[in-house]
Amino acid sequence: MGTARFLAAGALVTVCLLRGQQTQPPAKPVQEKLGDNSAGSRGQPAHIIPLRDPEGDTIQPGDRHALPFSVSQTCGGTCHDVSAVSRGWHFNAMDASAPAGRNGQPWLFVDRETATQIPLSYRAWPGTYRPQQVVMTEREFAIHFGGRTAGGFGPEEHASEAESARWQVSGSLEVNCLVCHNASAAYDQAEYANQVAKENFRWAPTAASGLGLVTGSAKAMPDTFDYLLPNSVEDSLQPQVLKVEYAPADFLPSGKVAFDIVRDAKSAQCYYCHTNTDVAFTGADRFKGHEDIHQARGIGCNQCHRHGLDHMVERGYAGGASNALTCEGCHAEGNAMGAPHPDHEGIPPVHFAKMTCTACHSGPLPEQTTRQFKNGMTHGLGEFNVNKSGEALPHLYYPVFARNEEGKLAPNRLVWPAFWGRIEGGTVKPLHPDIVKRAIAKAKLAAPLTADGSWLNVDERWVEQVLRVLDEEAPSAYVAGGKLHRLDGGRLKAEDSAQAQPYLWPVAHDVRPATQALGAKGCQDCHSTDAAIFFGKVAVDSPLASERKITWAMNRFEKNLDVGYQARLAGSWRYRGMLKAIGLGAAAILTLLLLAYAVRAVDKLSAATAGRLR
Amino acid sequence: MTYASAVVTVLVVVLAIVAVDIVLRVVFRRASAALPGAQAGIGRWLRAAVNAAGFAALAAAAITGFSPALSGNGAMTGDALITHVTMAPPFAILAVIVALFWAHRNRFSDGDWGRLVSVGYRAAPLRKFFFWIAVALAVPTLVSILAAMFPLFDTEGQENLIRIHRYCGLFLAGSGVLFAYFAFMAWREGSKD
Repeated sequence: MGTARFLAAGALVTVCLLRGQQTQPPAKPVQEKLGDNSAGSRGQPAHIIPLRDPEGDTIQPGDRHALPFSVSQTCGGTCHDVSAVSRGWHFNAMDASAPAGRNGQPWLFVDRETATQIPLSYRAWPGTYRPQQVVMTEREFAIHFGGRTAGGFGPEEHASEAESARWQVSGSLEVNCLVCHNASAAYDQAEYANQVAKENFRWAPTAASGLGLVTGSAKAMPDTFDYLLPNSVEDSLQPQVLKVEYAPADFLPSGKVAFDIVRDAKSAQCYYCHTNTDVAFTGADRFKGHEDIHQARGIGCNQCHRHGLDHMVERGYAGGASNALTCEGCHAEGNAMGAPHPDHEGIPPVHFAKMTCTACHSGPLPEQTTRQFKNGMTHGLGEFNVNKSGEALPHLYYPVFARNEEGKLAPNRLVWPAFWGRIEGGTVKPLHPDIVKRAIAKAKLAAPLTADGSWLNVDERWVEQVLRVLDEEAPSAYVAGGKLHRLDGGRLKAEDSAQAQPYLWPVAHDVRPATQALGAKGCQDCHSTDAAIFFGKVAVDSPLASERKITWAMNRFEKNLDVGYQARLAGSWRYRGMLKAIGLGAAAILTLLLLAYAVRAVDKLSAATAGRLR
Repeated sequence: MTYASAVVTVLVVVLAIVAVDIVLRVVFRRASAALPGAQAGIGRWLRAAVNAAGFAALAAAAITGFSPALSGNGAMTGDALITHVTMAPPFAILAVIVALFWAHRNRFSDGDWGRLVSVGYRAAPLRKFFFWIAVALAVPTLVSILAAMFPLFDTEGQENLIRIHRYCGLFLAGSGVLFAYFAFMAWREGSKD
């Protein structure tokens, strides 16, 4: 009886569950937008479209209070799924759930007054700090770095009331499709950065596109400013009120605007942010510089760094999303790209198991000491009034050979962290430079800024004095030059610390052709007792001149490298010629010996055969 | 078949041949002949020294060559590689000298086959056989790895050259050991050739 009741109850539950499933509404199909799925034409679709403001209304040239156009409304209204696009690498910088991928270039938060240069990232890259760790809000992050991004910043979930008010004033720095896809000569990313610096997030794409002239500054507006009612601010602020003036000539008779949109971004657009330039070539004639071999052959960035609607641009490293678009993928024998397959004649295959392609082919050839470079994102190259000095912070170095995740030797870029922090639980929690600035001002320790944009001219005494002020609140430290500096018994002490280790990220470009590769001049490019790849020196960077005199051995970064073996191997190279001569000589004599007796054997065999036949 | 298992197989085969030879000697109760009369002083010592040095060089090259594979370290690298390469020139020189010393004595003669198959066979024919095998394998062993040091072959070619070097070297070591064994046995038998 009990069993029957149990079965009946089970049957009842099953029926209920099934009915429940049946009553659930069917999943809503995702509405595909007009431009999200190409019909297959290789032609360039015309982008003659109405400009739409943040409210979704169409902008007309004669509007009395013209609003800035919204990229998400203009591009995403009916044509493109901007929400799908916004999950891509270029826009998900603040999305902690986005995959980190291998170490990449960090955002470098530089504050010259406090001798700070700290690598930040929302991605979980060891050696970087999350902006929250330096008490940097997402808004502050957007103001600092947003001008060198393609947007993707908006009010965070847990923003304070004050921050939320400021977001209301400035608007979101929404995904800006035009950064990459607008090929118009009127598009100016430097103007975009200029607008972001003024906190004109909502207006930045309009100003950068050249379609509208934007005046005023959201930074100057009060928290109560409403961009829909711009005249509601007090008279004294009126000159700073944000206004947009569109050029009627840019509008077609239909009231629409013709955008010069390209599906494949031109490399020059990528280079606005992704330029890496050697400091030695800063200010030099451009023809003296180098270029990636792919670019020189007319292969643009996006031909390898491809992506779908999700804009998860292929990063191109082994173990990434697609191995087909790595060095090996494109250059494999019989590859679909038609890329030349390297023969690597005379190179023992063990090299390919122990080194990445980039070790020999990317970045500058290693020299006795590392070189310095500047970068579009970190140095604001291409922006207005940029400091062109080679010494402008942050100081970045390359090539530094280190093992990657696969254990292969690869060239890297490097930055030495320099920051102040509180010592808590054995670690240093970075301090926001503003806190340090207040301490410096309180103790009247402010040092004059240098004209070249480099470090302050300070010494250990200055660090000691600043730490003394900071220690009044809590034990503090200054990380720089690969050392952690703290006061011990009132005296400055420098010690090793994991947090003082430099942050490295791989060099991928510029790629050098075979004739300029490491090893093109022979094995001794690497197998000599002074080969830079193993025995070179890595410059140490610090505001303290005494620490800048120190260098680290390159092999310090090459984990598990048997330095003694490399030295012995390099030393044995001088006997290689002798080895070849003896080996070939021995092989020749043995061959002659074999032939001599083989001839006699054949002769004897022939004679024997002849005898039998007779 | 991995290279490590090939090394083990060759080692087992060499030991099996030696064991079979010993068993045959016991079965046929072949007593050792009186040792040949002493050669002229310096010539005898020179021959003995060359044979000993040649065998030592072969053993050193073989041990340094096979130990990474047998110890599961895979490709030869590090100090094992340096030692192996350091042993290569002495081995090459001694291989030539040993070959020159023995080539004439190891000519096959009409009676070799008969001596081999007849009851109470002698070791000399087998010594000759393994000698010529070893000499023949020494050439590709040397040439393959030397060719890899010149910019002549692509990655696949390089891999093939290394494979040739490893397998020819393996069989060279095996035949070299058997040559040494049968040379010793032939000497004990009082072989005249």
